[in-house]
Amino acid sequence: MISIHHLHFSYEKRSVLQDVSFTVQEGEILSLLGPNGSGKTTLLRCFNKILHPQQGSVQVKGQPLGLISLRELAKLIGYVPQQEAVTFPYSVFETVLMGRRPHVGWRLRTHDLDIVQACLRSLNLEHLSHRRVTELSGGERQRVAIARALAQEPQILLLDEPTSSLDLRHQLEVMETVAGLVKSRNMTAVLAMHDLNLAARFSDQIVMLHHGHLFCAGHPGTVLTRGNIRTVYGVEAEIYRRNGFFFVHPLRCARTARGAQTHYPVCPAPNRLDQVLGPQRPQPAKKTEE
Amino acid sequence: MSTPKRAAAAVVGPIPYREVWRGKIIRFVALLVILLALTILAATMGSAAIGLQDILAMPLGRLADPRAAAKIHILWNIRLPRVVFGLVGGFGLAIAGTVMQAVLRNALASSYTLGVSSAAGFGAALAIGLGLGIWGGKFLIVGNAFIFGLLSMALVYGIATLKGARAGTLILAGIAISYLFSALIALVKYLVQHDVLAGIVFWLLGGLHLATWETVTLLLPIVILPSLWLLLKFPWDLNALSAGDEVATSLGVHPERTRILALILAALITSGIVAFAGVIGFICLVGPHMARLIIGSDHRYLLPYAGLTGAILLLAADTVGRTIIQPTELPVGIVTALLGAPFFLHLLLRSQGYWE
Repeated sequence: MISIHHLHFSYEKRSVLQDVSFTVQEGEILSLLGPNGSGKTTLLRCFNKILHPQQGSVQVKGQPLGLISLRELAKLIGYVPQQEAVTFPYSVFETVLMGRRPHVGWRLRTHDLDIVQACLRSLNLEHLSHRRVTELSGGERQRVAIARALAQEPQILLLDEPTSSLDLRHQLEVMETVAGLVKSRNMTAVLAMHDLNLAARFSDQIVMLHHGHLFCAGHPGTVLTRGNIRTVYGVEAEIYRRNGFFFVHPLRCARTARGAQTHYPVCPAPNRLDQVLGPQRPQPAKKTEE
Repeated sequence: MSTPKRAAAAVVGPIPYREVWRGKIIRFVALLVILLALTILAATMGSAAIGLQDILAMPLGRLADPRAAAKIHILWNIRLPRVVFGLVGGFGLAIAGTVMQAVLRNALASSYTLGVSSAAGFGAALAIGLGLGIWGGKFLIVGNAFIFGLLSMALVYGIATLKGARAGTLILAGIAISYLFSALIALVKYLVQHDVLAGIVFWLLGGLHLATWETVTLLLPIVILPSLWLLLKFPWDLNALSAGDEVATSLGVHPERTRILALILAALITSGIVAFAGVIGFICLVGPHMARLIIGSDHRYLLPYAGLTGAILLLAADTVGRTIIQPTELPVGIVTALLGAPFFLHLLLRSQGYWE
C-alpha cells in the first residue's frame, strides 16, 4: 500500500531521516516507535506531501507520490495531527465536514452529510455535533480530528500520536476504532506511537526509529526486546507475553546517558532483526518471560 | 456506490444539520432586511429633507417641479453614490478582513496587519504633502494610495517567497512593513506645512465624501471581482487552513499557494477602498468577528455574512457621521470605532466559548 525507499529528510542542515525503507501492506496497522526527535512525525508527514523528502521515494498504491495530485491524495490518505491549532470556533459538525473537502465543490450533497453523520456516530460524537470545538476537552478534539479524517473516506489513515492526550478508556476506544476500521474496511493505518504497550497490542508491524535511522522492523514480538528498548529509549524494561500479546514493563533509566548511545552499532537494514537482538553490552542476566 | 449510501441513510435518520442550515438562512434574511431598511434610511437622511415619498416618486419622473428636480439631483448624484460606496466599501473591507484572519490564523489580523493600510496612507500622504505621485490630476491621491497598498503586499509576498509563506512569518513581516510606512507617514507629516498637515490628517481619518458615480464605478470592479472569487472558490480552503497547514495539506489544499493568492485578493480589495475612503480600520477587524459570532465559522456562510455585516456597519457609521452634527461631518473612521466597539464588546461578553 505504501512503500518507501531510501528516504532522506533534513530540515535545512539538520538531518532527521536517513536511508529509511520499508513497506506497509494493505489491511495492516503499522506503528512507528522511537523517542522524541527520532523522526516519527517527520516520516509520517512525508507520506502525504506535508513534507517533501530530499532523497528517496514514497509510493502509494504503486504510484510515486509526485504523480498524485494533492486532491487525489486527500481522497486516499487521511491525516490526524498530534495537536491541532484551533483558531476559530467551528462546530464539531463543521470540523468533520471539512473532511469532505476533497470530494465536493461549493455545494454539499445529502451523501456528504450522511457520511459526516456516520463518522460522528462511529466516534461517539453525535451528542456534541453542534458544540464548538473550542469548548471540548483534548480527548474529544482528538476524536473530532479522527472523524474528520474518516470523512475523507480514505484507504490509508495516518495518525500522529493519536492516544497521547487521551484517558485510558478513550485510548482504547480510539485504538479499537482504528483497528476495527482497518479490519472491516480493509484500510491501512500508520501510527506514530509513544505507548509501547498499545503499539504492541494493536500493531501488525512495528518500525523502530533511532536517531533518524530505521533501527529495526517487524512483528511486535521481535521488535520489542529488552535490548532494543535499552538502545533506542535508554530504558531498562522487562517484556512479558500473555495471550499472544507482548507487554513492556519499564523498570528504570539505563545507566548510559541517552546522548552516549550514538556509538552503539545500529542496524539500518529493514527486517534484519537478528543483528540487533539481544543486549549490546554485557549485562547481568535477567530472566524475561519472552 | 448506491449500497453504502442507502446503508448510511438508513442508519442516520433525520439530519440535524438541516435545522442548522435553516437557522442560517433566517439569519441571512434578517440581515438583508436590516440592510435594505438602512439603505432607505440613509438615502432619506441628510441636510436636505427627502422623504420616502420622494424616493418612491422618483421613477415617475416629476421633473416639471423644480423643487422635485433639485431633490432628485441631491438624491441621485450626492446621496445614492455615497450609499452605494458605503455598502460596497464595507462589504469589501469585511470580506478582506475575514480572509486575512482565516489564512493568517489570527483573530487580530486586519488590513493593518499586512501593512496595506499604512502603505496606502503613506502613498496618500506623499501625494497630499509633496505632490508626488504616479498619476497626476484628479486621481493623484487615490492612485498613489492604491499603488502603495499593493506595494506593501508585494513586499510581504517577496519576504514570503524568501522565507516560506507560514502564517507567523507573514504576520511579523506585515507588522514590520506597517511600522515602516507609519514612520514614513510621520516623516511626511513632520516635513510639511500646517495647512497641508491638516489635509493629511483628514485623509487618514477616512471618509466617504469622495463618493460620486465616477468613483463608485472605478471602485466597484476592484472590490466585487476579487470578492466574488473569494466567495465562490475559497470557502472550503479557508476552512481547511484554519485547522493548520498540515491538516490543510492532508485535505488537498496547498497551504502556501492558497494563502498568498487569498492575501493578494484581500490586499487588492483593501487598497482600492482605502485609496478612495482613507484608512477605515475597524470594519475589517471587527466585522468578521461580529459575523462569526452570529453565523459561525464556516466560511461558506461566514464570508457573505461578514460582507453584509461590513456593509451595514460602514453605511450606518457614515450616515450617523454625516447627520449627527449637521452640517459638519464626523469622519467615518471615528464613528465606526465609537459605535462599533461597544456593540462588539456587548456581543463578546454575551457569547460563550468564542475565545478559548
